[in-house]
Amino acid sequence: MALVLMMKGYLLFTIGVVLVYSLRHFIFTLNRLFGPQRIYYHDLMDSDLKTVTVIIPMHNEEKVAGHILDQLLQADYDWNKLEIIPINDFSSDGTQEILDLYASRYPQIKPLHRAENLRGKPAALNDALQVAQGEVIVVFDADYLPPPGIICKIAVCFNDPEVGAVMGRVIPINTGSNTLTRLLDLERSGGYQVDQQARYNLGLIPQYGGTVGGFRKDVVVDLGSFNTQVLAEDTELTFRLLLHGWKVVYANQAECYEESPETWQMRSRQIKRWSRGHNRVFFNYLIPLLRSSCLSLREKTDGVLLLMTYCVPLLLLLGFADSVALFFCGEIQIFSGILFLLFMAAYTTFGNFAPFYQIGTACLLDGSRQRVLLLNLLLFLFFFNTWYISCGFMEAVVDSLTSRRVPWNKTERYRCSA
Amino acid sequence: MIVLCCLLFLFLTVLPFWGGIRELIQKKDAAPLHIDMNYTKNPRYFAVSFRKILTAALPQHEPAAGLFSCTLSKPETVEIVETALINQGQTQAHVLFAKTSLVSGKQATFLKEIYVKERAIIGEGNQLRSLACDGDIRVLQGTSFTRWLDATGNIKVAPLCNLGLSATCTQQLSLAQHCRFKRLYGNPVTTAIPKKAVETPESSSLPFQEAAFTLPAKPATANQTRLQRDERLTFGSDAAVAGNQSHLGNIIALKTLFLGDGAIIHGDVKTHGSLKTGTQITITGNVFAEGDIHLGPEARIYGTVFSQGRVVCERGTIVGSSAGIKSIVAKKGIEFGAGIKVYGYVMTEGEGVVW
Repeated sequence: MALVLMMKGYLLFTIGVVLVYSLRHFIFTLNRLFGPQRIYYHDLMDSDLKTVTVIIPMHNEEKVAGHILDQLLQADYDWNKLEIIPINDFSSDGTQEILDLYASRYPQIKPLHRAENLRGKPAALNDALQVAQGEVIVVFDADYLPPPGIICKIAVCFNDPEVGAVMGRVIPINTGSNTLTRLLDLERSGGYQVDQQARYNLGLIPQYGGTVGGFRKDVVVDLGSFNTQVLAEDTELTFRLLLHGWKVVYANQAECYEESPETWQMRSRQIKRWSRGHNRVFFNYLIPLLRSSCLSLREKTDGVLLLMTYCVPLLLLLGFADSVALFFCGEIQIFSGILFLLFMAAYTTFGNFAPFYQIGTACLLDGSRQRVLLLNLLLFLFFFNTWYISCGFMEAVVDSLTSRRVPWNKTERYRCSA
Repeated sequence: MIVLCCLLFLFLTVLPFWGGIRELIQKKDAAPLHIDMNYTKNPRYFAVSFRKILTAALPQHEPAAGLFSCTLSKPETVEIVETALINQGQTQAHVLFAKTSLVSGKQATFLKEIYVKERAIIGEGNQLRSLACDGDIRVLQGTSFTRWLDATGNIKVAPLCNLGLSATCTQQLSLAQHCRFKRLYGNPVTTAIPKKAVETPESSSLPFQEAAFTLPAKPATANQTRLQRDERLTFGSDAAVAGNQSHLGNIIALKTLFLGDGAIIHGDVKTHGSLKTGTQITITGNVFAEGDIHLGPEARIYGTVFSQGRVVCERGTIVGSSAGIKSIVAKKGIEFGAGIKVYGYVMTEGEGVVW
């Protein structure tokens, strides 16, 4: 009896959590459609922008290294205030040779070769921060293709004395490759065009995503640089900055192409890594976030929901198992018939489909019409994500309990080399 | 019967996904979202682009006067003249290319773009779409632009003009009273001082003259405000900096911030509410506000001004300096008093107006 009571309680808890997130998705969607939109800083023209170091971590990136460097060499920024540090991080392919070739031709490109100490993005960034001259650090992953004006759009926000970090918008370039890339494109659209922008509009917490973004170098160094034990160093930086009174802003106009994973295996590794890293940050920062004197109640609420994002799928998975168990125990009817039916109908209609409203709205705002038809197929991606995010959560729990070292695995590239 | 039911079941299962499956096969919308990989920010973008397109479309050397058909963004007829003299009330229906100057009478209408190689004088009450001029532009009273005007020289605008989406020039852009705008770019952008104010002795001296470009000296005495951690001073409620006080470091106010007469801030100012200042305040850095910004008379801002609300600049306010480019950007609107100087860019999503 007690067990049944617990199971019913857990089911109600799961429904409650999903309803909260559904409400959040709807608020964001309605804000993007009808609410006041905060302007970003990209319209500012200033001849005294800060000095910038662009850092590009690379591990075996010979396929794409030349592409991103070619793009950055066209940057519309004062070259007296710009340097580029591509990091050759324990590469065993031709990455080093490519970087040295570019460095010999262009003095603004200053490769950093790493073959000692810890491997991985956070450690690489920390080493680069020691030699970077710029006041602002802009980070791109190696597969990105920055347009000429993006450095300026990212750097200009640091005129605001409260801004500690900025995140731009990621747009997949290999959208049409297969079903997976098309679904990931939808996911990205919803996440940036609606979710991040709405959080910026509402004065909540846009997240620094670790690429197509920037931060103040001195601030991050003073805060201890990046934690090499956390896979989601970007999420960790977001919360560390917030807890020290800095803001993270979102630049919807700072768009940059990326490569999405093209195989389900690669996607599973990526989403599991994100979940593993993000949940470590959740464990480490939940209490400090709630205790922080630098954040308003709204920011704390959004911060908690943001931290919990990658544990909700596990809650849902367990909730599903719980409901099946209750069904076979003959205990599924928790309230009186009609009330419960209405409750479940509302939950199913609004709860399950809330993210789809967000993604559909993003497609509308992007001027995309036909790709909205793919929304139904996101259901399969949802189940796929739920499983691997849950696996990532479990690994994060073990990481926290055992303090084991976390391995860094890069994402495969699909482009042909330059 | 069983087979029929199975088929029906399959059909109804697949039906909701049919649209998506069809799109996966047909790939009507499979291209990545467009990013313009050639775009760089240029406030004079419209005019530069128009000049380039028109010059490329016209005959290369000394095009003869007359009508000429070509394709710009779409098929157009370009009227080429040596000097354009547009009579009162006349309507110019074609794209106009004047190899020297343009002078228009009152109430003339220009339905298409204009490119003038030397100078342009636009008469009173004219209606124009766009004007690009390789010299100076003078716009007389009551004229309206629906799109943009641009000069590689100076632009001088008389009262009651509407400057459309963009008015830009490489030198001084002068606006008289009751002009309306969205975007301005000039070195500097100025608003006129009413004649009456100029003639009145007590208002004709220092208040409307720009101080020499030297930043005020940072306080070195013991009464300078102590810096908080991170060199930022954060106020949790409405805050004020007293008049004639000097503050070293950035200020962040979570609500409204008041700066008294003569206050000097050596740093940036950010407020989550509104910012209101007295007269003759100085801010050596940038100014940001989630609410409105109201700069009192003769305010001196050396950085950029950015507001999610409105920006009001009372008489004699100066933003930036001749040494560089700065901006005023406001989401909801901008109001300029007399004798304003902005070295660089002014932009609002709402309406800009000169009192």
